[in-house]
Amino acid sequence: MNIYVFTNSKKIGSLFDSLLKDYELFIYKRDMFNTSIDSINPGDLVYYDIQGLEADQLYLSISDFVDKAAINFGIIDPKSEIASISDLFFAGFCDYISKKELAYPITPGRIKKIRSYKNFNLPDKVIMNSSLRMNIKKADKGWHSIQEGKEYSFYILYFRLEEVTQLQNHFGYKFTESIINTVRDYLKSYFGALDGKLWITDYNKALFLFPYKDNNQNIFMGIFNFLLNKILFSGEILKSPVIVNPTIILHLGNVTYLNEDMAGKSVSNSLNLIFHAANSYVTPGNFYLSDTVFGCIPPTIASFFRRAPSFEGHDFMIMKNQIINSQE
Amino acid sequence: MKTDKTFNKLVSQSLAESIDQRSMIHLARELIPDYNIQAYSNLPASLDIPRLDIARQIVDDMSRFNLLIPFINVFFSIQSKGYKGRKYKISKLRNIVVTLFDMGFSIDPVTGQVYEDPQYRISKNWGVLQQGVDYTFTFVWYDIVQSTIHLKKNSHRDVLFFYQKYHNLVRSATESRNGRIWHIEGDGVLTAFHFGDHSSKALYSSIEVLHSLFSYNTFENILDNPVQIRVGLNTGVTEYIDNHDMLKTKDPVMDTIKLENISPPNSAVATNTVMTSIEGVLASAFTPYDSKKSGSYFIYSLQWENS
Repeated sequence: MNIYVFTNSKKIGSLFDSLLKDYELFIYKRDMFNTSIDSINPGDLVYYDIQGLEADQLYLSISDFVDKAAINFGIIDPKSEIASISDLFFAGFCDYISKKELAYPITPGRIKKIRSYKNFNLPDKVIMNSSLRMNIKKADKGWHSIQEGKEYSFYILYFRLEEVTQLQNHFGYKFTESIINTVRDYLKSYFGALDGKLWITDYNKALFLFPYKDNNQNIFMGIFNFLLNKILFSGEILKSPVIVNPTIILHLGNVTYLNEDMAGKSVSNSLNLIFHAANSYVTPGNFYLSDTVFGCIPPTIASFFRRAPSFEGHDFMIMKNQIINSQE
Repeated sequence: MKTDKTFNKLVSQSLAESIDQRSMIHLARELIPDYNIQAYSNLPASLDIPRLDIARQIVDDMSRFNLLIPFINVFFSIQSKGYKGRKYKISKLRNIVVTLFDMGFSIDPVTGQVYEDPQYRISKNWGVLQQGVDYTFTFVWYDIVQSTIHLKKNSHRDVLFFYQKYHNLVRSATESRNGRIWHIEGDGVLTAFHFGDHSSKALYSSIEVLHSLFSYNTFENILDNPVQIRVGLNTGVTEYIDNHDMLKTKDPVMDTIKLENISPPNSAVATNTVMTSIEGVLASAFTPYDSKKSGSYFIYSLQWENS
């Protein structure tokens, strides 16, 4: 079970620190609630700080909670603004933290009581933990630790440029090829800075490997920022007439590392999954995370993803689309 | 900037080999309208003087008044545009260009104009624009939405730290595209673009700043609330003025700053003048926007599905 706290107060957020030993804890600013809620799993516990909300905002927020009853909600009320606490519990809330209780840290014992009271039914399969079921083989020193012929855990990034036909129609075949080379060179440099290595290329497709090690969350921020800036990438770097929307799949899996010349001969379930998903599962132009990755990404990024249909026994998340071309 | 004697000699030779005496003096008068070569030299009041002597005198005078690079810009333009109906071929052009690169200047591929290379120097006038002379600029105005709330809700130190970050984001997005920051007043920042495809560069810079602030809000924000900005872009002709108070009274600048009243938060609003020759990716990103307050504009907003 994960615990999420939505509060604008750093002090209140710190009161939950003692839960870190036993639970995955995520502290968000309150206005992240709407964008984060879809990525929270049934069975998780969510605390929401109501301080400073206007009466109508409070009503809307509470209605919103009740609509999402599969998740367990608690209220933090630093200024005793709730008139009827019992109404909260009748509506399905499982905890209420009063002004007086905020003078002390929230303890694991309190969460235990809530679980017993609420008789939590945790889902059999919690996506957030699926990476833990893997047999992780870290490469602590990144590529310096990697030896040919041995198996390691990698973040495997599949990239496919989708606008090839449009580019060919606009620029012709030869110039399109030079654009594809520009894309490849740019990605090599961009992901190279994040310890990624271009492993397999096939015209408009590329596969990068990032050795799995502690503290390499920069990969997620890197991909996120790359997609955020795809207008600049398309217009300024590629000089493309259209905004390119690449397909990206990120999966954490084990692969026996062979050098780039032999890479095509490497066989693994992870590679199979990625290639199958790329060919017959994804909607082109989207960014997908497999279930093994989702547990590793920072909550701030997780809120930009929603669930996608499962494929070959794996759950997937898809990044929400950035809306370009909207008329206010 | 002052130039060295070897370079002055090279430009003098080129001038003398490319253009007649009378036209040389007319070129000099493009920059100094009452330029009188005899006033600065011992040369006789006759045009029966060797071309090289006149060229040397003009180049020395221009160098003395820090006008040699603008003069070279006028001189270079006679090869592509001609001068008084006649086309000229500039001698030693390649040598001059190579020396200019060594001196820290670049050549604008669109206009062929010389300007300072930002890797070496970044000055407000690109090292070449003249006070009081009209130029076409694209201006960008950045303004933080409800900045006073951030000041009230956060410590002074945190706000100062953020402002430093914000100014650096704008500086990086601007100067990497050969734009210049012209004025900073707290949360308001005015930038200007002149060389190259200045409208596109300004539009791209505004998108980069919007995105960088979005990333900042998502990953790094130390303030109590997300920071939102409004961006306005406008292209217009105005004289280059070093003084900000006077600059603010010029129509194209005032029109840019007024766009903060039209732009929604997290958006960039551009006037028609910016979008005149824009196509491709930027034309897709900036869509027509009918402001209820006044007129038609183009807008780019950072939005996500379901958010």
